[in-house]
Amino acid sequence: MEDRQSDRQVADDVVKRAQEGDQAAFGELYETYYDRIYRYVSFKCGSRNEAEDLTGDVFLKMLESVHSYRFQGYPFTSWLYRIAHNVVVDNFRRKGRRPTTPLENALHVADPAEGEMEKWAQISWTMGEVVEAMDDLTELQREAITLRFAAGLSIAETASAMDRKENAVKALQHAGIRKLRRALIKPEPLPTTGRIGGQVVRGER
Amino acid sequence: MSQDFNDALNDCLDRLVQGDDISECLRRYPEQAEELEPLLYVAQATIRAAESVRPDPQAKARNFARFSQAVEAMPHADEGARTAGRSRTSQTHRARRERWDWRAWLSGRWAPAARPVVAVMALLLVFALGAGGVTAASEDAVPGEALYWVKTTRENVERRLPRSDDSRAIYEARLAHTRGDEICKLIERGHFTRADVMVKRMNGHLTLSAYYAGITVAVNPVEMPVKPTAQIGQVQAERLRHKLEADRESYRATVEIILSDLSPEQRRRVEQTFRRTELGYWLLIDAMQPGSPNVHPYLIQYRIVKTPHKGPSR
Repeated sequence: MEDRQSDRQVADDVVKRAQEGDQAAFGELYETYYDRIYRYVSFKCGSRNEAEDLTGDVFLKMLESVHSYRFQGYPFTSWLYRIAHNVVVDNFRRKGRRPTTPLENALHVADPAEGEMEKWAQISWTMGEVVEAMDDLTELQREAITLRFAAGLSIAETASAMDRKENAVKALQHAGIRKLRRALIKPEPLPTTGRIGGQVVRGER
Repeated sequence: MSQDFNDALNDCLDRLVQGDDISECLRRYPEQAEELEPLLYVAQATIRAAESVRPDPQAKARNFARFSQAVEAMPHADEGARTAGRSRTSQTHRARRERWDWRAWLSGRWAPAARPVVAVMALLLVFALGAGGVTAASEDAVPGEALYWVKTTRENVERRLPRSDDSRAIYEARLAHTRGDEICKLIERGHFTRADVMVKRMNGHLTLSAYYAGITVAVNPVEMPVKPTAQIGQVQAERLRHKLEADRESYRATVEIILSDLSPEQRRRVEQTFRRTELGYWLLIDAMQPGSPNVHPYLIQYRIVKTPHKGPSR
């Protein structure tokens, strides 16, 4: 918690410098947030090329409106993710389509570092599978899960970015994980027919 | 599902994001460990899958070049002047504030007149704070609780405040959402009959919201589809529709959690209650979407019977 607060203070200082026209501060903001914004956008649109373009657009939009950002208890991170959300939604609207399920190899997935093989081997779901499973979630659940897990926002930041109360976000997150679990852990199919004591029986679900 | 469980889950998720082990999280919540465990594994796998996505360094560099060009093209001088102007203005305000000293005013020549005024104001403040405290405490009250009447009285007073039809529509939608929260809480506490009563009130608020938005909600939607009867302001209608959709989503999320905790018998009973409320939302949202078909599976199974309201009370 303290880490997050000090992070926020550092971010606020950098934003203040950026608002005063300090070019280096813009560079710091870019370095701090680029990867997280990219991850968030990738989760939402599922295509590598599109995610790269849109992430670039998010930072240009941020540049256009950073002077209108006010320090009034609303974290800069949440504000930036709202911009990212709007950029993605505008893109879908322009193209006249809803988010699609990404192709497995469409995203740039990092290779596991040496020695981490065992840890990575435990991952039973790939990014593609997770994003596909996210289709079962409602729009708000998807947003809550994406902001929490892909963007790594705190519950307070997520609530600010979604303009919801923290308890509502907690409920959305809970329901979202339950649905993900249902979608990702498919029960083993039972044999449709079998033979017990010479009689043919039909498997039931 | 209680708020405690949501809090525990959230705490564990925060720890997972920071790199803690699942077993450590479970040790903190031994009573909820069994239920938390599968959810945490799903969350952990999702976090790992997300962490595996990294931007292509070349694309990142390309975007940075684009970003840097835009930064350089920014009008710094103007901004600097504007910032300097802002700070000059705030200095002037500060100086003005410093000039006026209330202690000097109270002890100076105005003291005889000022003291009774200050005493009355302090008394009024105490009453206002007390009333405010009770009102705030009643926020979470549900039917059957001592402070619930404070909540409904405040709502009734607020309803009578003069405002436009658009804001009345939004206000009624907000009240419907509040009733939805109460229904969830009542069901969590096992008060199913009271929850059923609240469904009627919730749908009443939705009907009123529709009325103010210029929509007539059909008494029998199977025979008479819901449709707009008046021209609704585009912006306000969009705002109301977004609010209703968001409320419905948040309500659904809570409902799903509650349902998963009930026994099959309780679930059958409660599902019907929830469907009736969901139908109320659906009818209104659907009516606000021009060109959408008025066909919904619920309409075949359930017929809502709405008591026609007596009209808006202003």
